[in-house]
Amino acid sequence: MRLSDVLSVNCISLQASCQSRFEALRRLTGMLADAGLIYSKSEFLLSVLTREEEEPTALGQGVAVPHGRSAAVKRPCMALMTLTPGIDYGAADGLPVRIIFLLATPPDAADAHLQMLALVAGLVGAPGGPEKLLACRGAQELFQMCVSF
Amino acid sequence: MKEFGYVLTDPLGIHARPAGLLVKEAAKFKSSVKISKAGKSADAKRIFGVMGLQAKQGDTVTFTVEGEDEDAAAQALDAFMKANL
Repeated sequence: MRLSDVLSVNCISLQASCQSRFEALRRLTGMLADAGLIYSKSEFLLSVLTREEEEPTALGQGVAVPHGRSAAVKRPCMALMTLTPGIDYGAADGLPVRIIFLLATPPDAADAHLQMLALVAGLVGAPGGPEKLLACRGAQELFQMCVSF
Repeated sequence: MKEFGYVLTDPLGIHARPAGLLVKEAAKFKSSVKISKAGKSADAKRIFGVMGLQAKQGDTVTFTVEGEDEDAAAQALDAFMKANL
């Protein structure tokens, strides 16, 4: 699996301004719905919020990986949002989150979910990863950066 | 140095939640902790490293622990894996 298989440029939002985690998740879900990748916004969002209730999905360094496993998802895919300013996400390191990868998988796609997590980990785990993503000026540039990794 | 292997039983593999818990557990110890799978190695105290391994059910991961508290660390991590993954 490559990032270009699961992320498209129309599912990237740059320097969004959101008041809350919920608003960010709602907007990310909306991007997936507009791209025709999920059947039901409310059903998918419910799966994402249910997962968030279990434990916040902030990974540290200003990055979060909220995710939903739901029959409302057509195929493994993700949406990406960078935020200005960052939002409080309950991260263990206390840092506000500025990069959110929303991962979506159908119910029996545990492997695809792990692969997507690994792709995100490789992207943001590289030295200066988050800063490089945040420095991108447009969705196309951010997309190119993600898929050429 | 202490080394031990573990075969993952969790159907979801090492996804974000157990990865975060594993990193927290490894961070308790002074020893260096490496986790590897199929020749690829990562620092078990870094969540992005652990997630990058894409370790799924049935995979064997190997822990390599080195330092003054390696015995305690290896024991604790082995117990952690059995309890969570």
